[in-house]
Amino acid sequence: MRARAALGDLGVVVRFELLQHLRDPATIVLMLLVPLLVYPLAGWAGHRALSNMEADAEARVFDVAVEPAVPLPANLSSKPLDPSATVVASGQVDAAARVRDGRVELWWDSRSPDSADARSRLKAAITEHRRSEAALRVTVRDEESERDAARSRAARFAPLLLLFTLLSGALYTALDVVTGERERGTLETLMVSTRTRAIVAAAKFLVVTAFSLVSAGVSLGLGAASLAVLGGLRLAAGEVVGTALLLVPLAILVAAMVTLAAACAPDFKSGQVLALPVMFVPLLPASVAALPGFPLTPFTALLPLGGASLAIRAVLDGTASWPLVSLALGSTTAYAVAGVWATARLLGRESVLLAARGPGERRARGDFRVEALITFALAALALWFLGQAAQSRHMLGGLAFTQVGLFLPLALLAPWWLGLPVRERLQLHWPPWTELARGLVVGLCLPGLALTVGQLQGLVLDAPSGLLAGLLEPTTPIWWSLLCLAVLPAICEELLFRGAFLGLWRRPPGRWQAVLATALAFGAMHASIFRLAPTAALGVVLGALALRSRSVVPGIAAHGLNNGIAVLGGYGFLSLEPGPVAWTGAAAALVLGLRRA
Amino acid sequence: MIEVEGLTRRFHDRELGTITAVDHVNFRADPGEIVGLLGPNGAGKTTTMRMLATLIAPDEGTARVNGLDVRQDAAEVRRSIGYLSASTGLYGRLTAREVLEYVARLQGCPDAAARADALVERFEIERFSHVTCDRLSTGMRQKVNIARALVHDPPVLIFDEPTAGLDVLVAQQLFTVLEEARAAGKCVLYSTHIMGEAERLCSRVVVIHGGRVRAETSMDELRSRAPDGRLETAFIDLVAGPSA
Repeated sequence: MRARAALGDLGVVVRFELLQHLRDPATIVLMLLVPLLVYPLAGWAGHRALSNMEADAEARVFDVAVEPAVPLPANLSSKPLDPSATVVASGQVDAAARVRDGRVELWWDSRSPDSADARSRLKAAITEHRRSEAALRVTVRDEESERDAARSRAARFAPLLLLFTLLSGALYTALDVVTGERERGTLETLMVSTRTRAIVAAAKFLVVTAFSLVSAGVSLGLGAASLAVLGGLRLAAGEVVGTALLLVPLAILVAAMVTLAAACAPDFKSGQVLALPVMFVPLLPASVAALPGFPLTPFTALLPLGGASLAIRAVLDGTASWPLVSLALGSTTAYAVAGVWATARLLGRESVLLAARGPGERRARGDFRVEALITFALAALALWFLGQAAQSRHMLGGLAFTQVGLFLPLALLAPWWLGLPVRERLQLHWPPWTELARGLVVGLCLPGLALTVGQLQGLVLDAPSGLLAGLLEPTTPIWWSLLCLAVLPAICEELLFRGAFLGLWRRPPGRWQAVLATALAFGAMHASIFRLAPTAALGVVLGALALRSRSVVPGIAAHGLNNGIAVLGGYGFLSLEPGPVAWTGAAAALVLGLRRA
Repeated sequence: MIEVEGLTRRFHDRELGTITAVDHVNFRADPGEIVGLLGPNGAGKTTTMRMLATLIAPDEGTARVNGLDVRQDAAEVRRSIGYLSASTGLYGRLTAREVLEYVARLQGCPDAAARADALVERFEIERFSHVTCDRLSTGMRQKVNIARALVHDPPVLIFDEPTAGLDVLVAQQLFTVLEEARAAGKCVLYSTHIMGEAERLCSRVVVIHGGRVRAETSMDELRSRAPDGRLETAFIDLVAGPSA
């Protein structure tokens, strides 16, 4: 009965919100006219421009010098020059090649796109000539494959255009129904008229999703029609349906993201300022679909926004593997559900609906999560601009500088700057001996956890071998490697992550949320997609140790032992391979580390 | 009908630090009376009323409206009140009648359309009922807003400075509505800093200043505290001291 009444309320709010919003001329322009006019034309113009550029490039004639002479295609012109690096560097020819004793030497200028094209053509011509001394060439013009190429080009840009329409449809609506209504006072009217805040939040979210979907649906339909009429490319019904299916969770995810952003903006003007990054950030992962070398794989299908974009590209260019498309659909749906959950939580808050509490009030309640993220961002920036520069000069010395010169001061300064008791926030207490012993045992088991997670990760993502090998040189004294790779990171990273970050994040939200957030930040700081999952797994255990013992010391012991074992493995003193020993270590680390944390 | 005990709400300001906007406030308002909540700007009147309307949560204390706790039974409290303040706006692209029907539906009125029509007639806004709210004058908009607060015929009315920006005629209509509500046994909490309005409407007053209740008494008793028998003098003595 209550659910029915709630659904009734939801229907009423959605109906009148839609009515109110559809009477806004700006909505109609953004939702219908923009996709109607701009995107199909822009897509078609882009498609034509790209086709013309490729045709122009194909027709351009480049100068080359080749010795001995080989038959060249019409778009390469042979110059009577001695092939060498000099004739290329002086600009006399675009590329040069000499064939001697069965070996081919090729010279080209990597700074010049023309030279790169000339090199490719020259290489192809020489290969062709050597394959058949008769050099009989047959050119087949296959109209269908040209159409395929055009379709592939269109499919590369379609996900970006569709995402853009999703965003443009959602963003203005979200700003209007959340930030705008708060400013106009209608949100308050609604709040005192309806039973629950959840109804208001759900209705707003549904309206944003609906506008986003309609906008992208119109864009998809018109884009498909434009390609069929203007480009002679006809999409199959299954391809349109597949794309539309992918658009639904994508629209929900986009609606969640922009609604969250709109909810965080204290007023409409701030919301407009936020609009640019909110539009830009989702387009970044989605742009992988426009880049060569990013196929839809079990791993890329899991990328937030990127997976769905690659799946749409695969569906549209006719290369879709339906299990992979389903995986992308599933992962995008999971992200959308997470987005809806986060939006519902945020929109239900008094501070968001009525802008009643500011950052000062948040801090007064002990909520320092934003400051924890800022600390992480500062650490990442310091690592990127200073740490990497130092490490490029001297790997281990640079690492030591990063830990002692960057991470440690940041860990100590963050709580001090915020006026918090440093020792208490960093959990600088000596733990009970049992907890220290637990840390040591867990530390011995942690390499097993990292190896096992890495092994599982290898099922979807092939990591390059020897990640640690790049850090170690055979001539480096082992004590120096242990200091820079085990002792200093154990102290400084633990103080930064399990001290400052966890210490700022842990109140008032749930303990496990704090541990997971810290683990993700810890994993991300290692700046490698291949190390993210193993280091995040270590981060979970280390965070749990810190929470359990209320001290950063057991984590320092465990972290130091884990890294020390890895260093010894790198020097060949230990064999660190995935297998039963590692699995046992992983299980022991999880049981001991996470027990009653 | 409204019982407030130890109600407290703090805000944090970057420059000013923690501000206690409402500091352990106690008062009550019964059915069939209009209680005036009097205080200068920034006294804590609006924060108190927003807590009673369940828009913001108290940090300490309790408040019961129509026998319902504002924290525990927030949804039912909202059903029991008609709330009007300077920050309760109207949907600009909906017509006056659509707004009334919208709120009537949300409040669970059995025949929302008929209820909206009845309020349009009662508040004499027929001529403007099909005009979108953005195009209404301030007075007309406030009339629609008052009708909106009454749409579900609630037993408790919480009106926060409802005459701001109104001309005499519309204000007069509002007073009539509130007097009718009192006669019908409803409980009205009415905030204002215009003493004339309070004298006309309120049988009892709660004077609030600096977030604290300075007096909770009958209108006659409060007036008798002033040497000249005027409410304004008694009010100034309470909030600024007798020498002011």
